[in-house]
Amino acid sequence: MINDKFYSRLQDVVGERNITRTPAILDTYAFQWGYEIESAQRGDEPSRFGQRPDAVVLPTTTEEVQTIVKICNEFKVTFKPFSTGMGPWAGVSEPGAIQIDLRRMNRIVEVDPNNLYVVVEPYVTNSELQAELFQYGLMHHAQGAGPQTSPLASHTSFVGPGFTSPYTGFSGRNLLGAEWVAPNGEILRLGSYEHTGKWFTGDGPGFSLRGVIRGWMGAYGGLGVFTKAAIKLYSYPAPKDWTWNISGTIPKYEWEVPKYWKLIVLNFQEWEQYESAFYEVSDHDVVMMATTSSSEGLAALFTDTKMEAIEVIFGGLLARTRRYFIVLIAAHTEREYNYRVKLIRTIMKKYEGEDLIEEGFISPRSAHYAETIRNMLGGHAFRFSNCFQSTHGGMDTVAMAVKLAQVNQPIKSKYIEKGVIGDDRGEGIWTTTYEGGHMAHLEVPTVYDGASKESCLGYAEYQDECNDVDLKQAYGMPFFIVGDKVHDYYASRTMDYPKYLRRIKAAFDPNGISDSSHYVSAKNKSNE
Amino acid sequence: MNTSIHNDLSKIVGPDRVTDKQELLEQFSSNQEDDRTHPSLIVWPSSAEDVSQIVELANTKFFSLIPISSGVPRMSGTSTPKVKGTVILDLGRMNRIIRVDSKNKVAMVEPGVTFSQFLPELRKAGLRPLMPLMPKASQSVLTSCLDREPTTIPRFHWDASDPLLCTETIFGTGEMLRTGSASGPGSLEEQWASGQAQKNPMGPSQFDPFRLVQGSQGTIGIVTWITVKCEVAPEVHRVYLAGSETLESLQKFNYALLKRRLADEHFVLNARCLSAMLGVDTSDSLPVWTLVVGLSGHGPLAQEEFDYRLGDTNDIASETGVFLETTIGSITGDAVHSLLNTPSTEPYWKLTPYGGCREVYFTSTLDMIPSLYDIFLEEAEAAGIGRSRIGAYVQPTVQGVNTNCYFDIFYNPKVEEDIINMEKLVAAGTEQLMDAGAFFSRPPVTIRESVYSRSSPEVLNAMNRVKRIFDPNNVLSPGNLCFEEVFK
Repeated sequence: MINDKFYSRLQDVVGERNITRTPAILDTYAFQWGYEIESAQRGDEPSRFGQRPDAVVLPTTTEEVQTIVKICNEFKVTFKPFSTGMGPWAGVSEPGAIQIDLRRMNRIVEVDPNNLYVVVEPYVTNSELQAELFQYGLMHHAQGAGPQTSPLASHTSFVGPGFTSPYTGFSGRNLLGAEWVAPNGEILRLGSYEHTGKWFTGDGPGFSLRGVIRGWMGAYGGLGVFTKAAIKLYSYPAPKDWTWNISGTIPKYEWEVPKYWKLIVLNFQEWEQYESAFYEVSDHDVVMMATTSSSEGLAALFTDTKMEAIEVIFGGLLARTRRYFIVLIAAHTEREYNYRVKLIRTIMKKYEGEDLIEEGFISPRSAHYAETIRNMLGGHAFRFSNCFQSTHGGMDTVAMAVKLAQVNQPIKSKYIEKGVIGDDRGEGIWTTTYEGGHMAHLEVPTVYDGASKESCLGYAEYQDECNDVDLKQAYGMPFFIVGDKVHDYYASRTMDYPKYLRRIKAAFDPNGISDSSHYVSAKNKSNE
Repeated sequence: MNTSIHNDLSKIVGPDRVTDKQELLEQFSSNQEDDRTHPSLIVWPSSAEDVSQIVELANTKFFSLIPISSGVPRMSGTSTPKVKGTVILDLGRMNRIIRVDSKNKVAMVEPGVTFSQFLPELRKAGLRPLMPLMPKASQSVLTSCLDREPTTIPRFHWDASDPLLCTETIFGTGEMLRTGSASGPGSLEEQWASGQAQKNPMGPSQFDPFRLVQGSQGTIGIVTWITVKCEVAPEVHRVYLAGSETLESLQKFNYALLKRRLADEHFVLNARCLSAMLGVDTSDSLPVWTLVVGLSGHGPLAQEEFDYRLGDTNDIASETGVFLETTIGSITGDAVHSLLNTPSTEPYWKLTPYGGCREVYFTSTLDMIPSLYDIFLEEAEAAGIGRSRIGAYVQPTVQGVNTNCYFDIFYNPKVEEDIINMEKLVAAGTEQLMDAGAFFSRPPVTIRESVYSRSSPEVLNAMNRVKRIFDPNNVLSPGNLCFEEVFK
């Protein structure tokens, strides 16, 4: 139980309206998508509930966060920051810990439309930020987790692909600077800000402290609290007089598609043709989206209900779909649009492909254009069973993604045959390129039944097998290789990197109070 | 001690790869009368294993190491020893281009690979480099990447770290780590077999060691190879110019063009800088500022790509009052084109006007550069260096988010008064620039104290904690960045 004196000290910081230890409220923080898989992977009974925090505190300024963190150090109480939260890593992991809920820190602090950056607080959502930025003809990299999630959380602390990655890259690469309350309570402002009052770079003087805070995956809240993030912006390709106009109601709404936008689904007979075309399209940096899934995934993206999707799948899509990727051409001018469409069609023809939209096998509506840039994961990926999660995730080249898709198919099929995960014939994947095709990653979205013990255990076993394949056959580091045991499992084939992470943890969190469950502890707990 | 270390190093690399010859040591010394600046030995390792053993020896025998990869001229002071008994670790003989992968647009190079060596190999593979503007011929590709030197094509510059990708690094502890996706799982050979090409610089996992090595001026680790981003060579590529009396009149065009990712090369030079680059004495007949814009097309619709880029660029130009031309006076776009994506001829172009050049370089934003330039010119006049001897190179970076700027002070190193005035300008000018908002993200040794005096204690503390993790005995390049000497 939480110490009264400790609670009182926190209450003095934020006021009694902004702190609670009411069990009913605390339980809402312990209910996160994916707990059922993590508990199954630990060998426990699959549970939708994780650890209940002992208290939740809601600061509103960086200085309040700092004071809270210092009090946690004084009382040796573990804390976990929480912004929009989506997944088991958002919650606390051990009894006696508190949750620092940042929802009152929700300001868009600064937009610099010429120098292409924005500064945001933790509870600004992708949706809010997009609405603000479109007025300037700008957009940011919104991560795939969806419009309701925090771009600060993704840019500072989590792995960050999104539907627009070919055009806007990866979250961690778009982080220009950050205000960071380190686990010892020190406030650090990375890069140019403390020298100039501007956030145009996060690197220097000298080496970049961005190297400490996140890496590829992010520290998942295991290394303090980020209270501001400066994020790089991109031109939003729409005519100056275009506005965000919608009519109707979700999911059957209509959206005014900008003039020079076009979705194309390039379908090829063989992986070899697909790979060559994917490389060539990505190299030219002409599309906002370039992504692959199964015929089920395609139907989920471009329909609005489960029944519609099933009708499309069995109405011809399943029979016709081979190796495809969807592109969204989003051009600024007619000249740019014409060149890009012609280039895509030239490449498609060169590798004997066809456009599944033009051929009438799938028909995206205007709302589906909007949902690609909004990363409307909730309405699509969760539709078939209410639960999904991704295996693999290694990020390097298109060639690796293509090989991994083929390696994964029989493995996934095995679990489909067992009846524990959704049947997509093992073909369900998701891949995107980044930065003109310089990088690509492949993950394998998989639907399971979160209410079924067998399904949760089956999915967990499938994910463990995928992790093992990636490790042994060198297919990159998958998502979710976090926490002491999993890090150490990967260490022997990855140059023992956890030892450096542990040194960082020890140097920046001497009391070990920033929840390390999805990061690493300074001492090797997995050997204890 | 010297003899003992000499013998130990000889055992590691062989006797012909260690020297204490004074004429070789002197090239690294800035002051012959100060023995702290005079290295004791030079050692040439030939492998990562050699480097690791040398670093371990430095930790046990307590001597400091300064890694170098590029040849002369050495202009930043990074490679000058700051403590007695320093050993120069010359990586110049590790000069293999290990791999060029045109499909994945990447090359893997050792430290000693220079741009002169690198470019022909890229051309053979149908690739082009992402490289600085006319680096010295002996410039190491790896060093250029580690120093975050700005490259000339902003649209390919996604992150301040570009074009650096993965590295193989020996930390100050002697431990080796491959960074990014190169760390594994698996060996490099296994990764190649699974289709990888060491393209993802991030990680491994939950930290980015490559960002700690990059910009560290040799204080965190010694890098024994890197992978570097390249691009497909264009079939059509032309350079356009626009003259202007002020930087302000180019701003709207620059911002609009950068947002669109239409151009390849995109930067602005003042007349002094452009004439020095071209090796001509025509600065009086040039506009005060010259905008350089490269446009290209490649692939199956190369000409159509070029045409669309040119058409949209011209539309932006006419909307913003800028006139793009193929010739300005006697200077042609083709002449500037011939200087792009190539190193300088010998002697280095910055040394040709007066024999000496001191670079003052910083990061800012495009809108800040005009006032920073005015401040520096005023300081130049006050210091006795004429305004006409200040070169300026304005390079948008990170796809237009920020700008790297070089103010070059051209001086005659044989004239004592010139040297005194130049140093006066560096000292006063950098302070003024910092006061006005310039960020010295890559601080040279001469101004490091001034730069770090503006950093918070918390940031300095964090940097020192990182240093203690990766180089606890401070054997690597002591005296660079904010790290003080420990060996007396």
